Amino acid sequence: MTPPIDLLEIAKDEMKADMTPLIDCVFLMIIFFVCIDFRVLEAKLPVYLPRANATLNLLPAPREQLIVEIRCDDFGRKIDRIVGRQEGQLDAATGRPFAFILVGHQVHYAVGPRRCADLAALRAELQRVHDDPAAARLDAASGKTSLPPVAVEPLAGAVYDDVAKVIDAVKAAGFLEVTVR
Amino acid sequence: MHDLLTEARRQMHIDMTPMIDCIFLLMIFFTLVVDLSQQNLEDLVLPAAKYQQADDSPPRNRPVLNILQDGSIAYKGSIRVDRSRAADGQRQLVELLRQCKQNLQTPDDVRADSGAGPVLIRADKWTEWEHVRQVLQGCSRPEIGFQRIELALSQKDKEAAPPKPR
Repeated sequence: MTPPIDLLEIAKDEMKADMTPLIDCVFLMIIFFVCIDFRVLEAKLPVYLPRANATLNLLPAPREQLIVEIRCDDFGRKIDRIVGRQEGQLDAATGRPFAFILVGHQVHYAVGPRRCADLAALRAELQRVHDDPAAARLDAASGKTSLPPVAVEPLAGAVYDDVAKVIDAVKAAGFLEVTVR
Repeated sequence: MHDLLTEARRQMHIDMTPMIDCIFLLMIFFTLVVDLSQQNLEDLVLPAAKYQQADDSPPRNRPVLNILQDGSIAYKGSIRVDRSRAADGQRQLVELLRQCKQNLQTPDDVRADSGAGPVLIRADKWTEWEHVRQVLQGCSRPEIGFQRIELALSQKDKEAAPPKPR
């Protein structure tokens, strides 16, 4: 027998939807997005190369540059990034060589003729050059004074991390033009 | 009366199973999409730097070269320059760069005033700079013509404390 319409309406009003499965799904999605490893590229540093030039000469015209050299004192010892793996072997899962870190890697820097033993000394020297009024150069084309461009020159044994730290220090000192050799 | 109410409730029961199935389908979808978008990125620890540009909207068809610690270069998930074969390394590098340039399909990717590019170079923080320099020199070859290079950096130093030496 079909119940009266009034009773059906009352039943609908009293009907309560069970929200538990929806809440479970929300928690599952939260766990999913927390646990997933997003390898997102975070930042970049643009570098410009000259056109149609087989050599790595980054400056378009001869200008006095401030050269910052990275000199390696001790390349360091290679330690497995994940202890237990051996250098030279390939990871069976990825086909890539096992990664390592360098322990004991030491470099020093040279800002022009001045030697800087560590990164703190490098930052101090770069800041001194930046603040020195004599460091400004007159640009003949524009007639304006500006700081000299900085050329970072990593020598043998320097690693990518060293170059990144030096570029960071140069930009922190306020130099706008930075190139890498 | 109670029977009528019970009958009404039974008729009004909402089955949540299809909604849960949709949620799981969405989860599978996002898992696959994220995996495909990271195909170009090798598992490298990038050096940290404070002064850099965010890579929020990368150019379309931008080649991504991943330089591993031994100098090998991975492109689109496969090793394209194998440094263990020293004699072929330079030739493989030039071939790879030529292919990267050919993959730039539209004129918008190749601008007359600044040449082809940009090329994104990702290298592990412990990769010797000499390997990166070789790639930069390859990019500046006249027949390649990449003038705009982007070096990948990280905002945070993701390397944990070094493991204790054995």
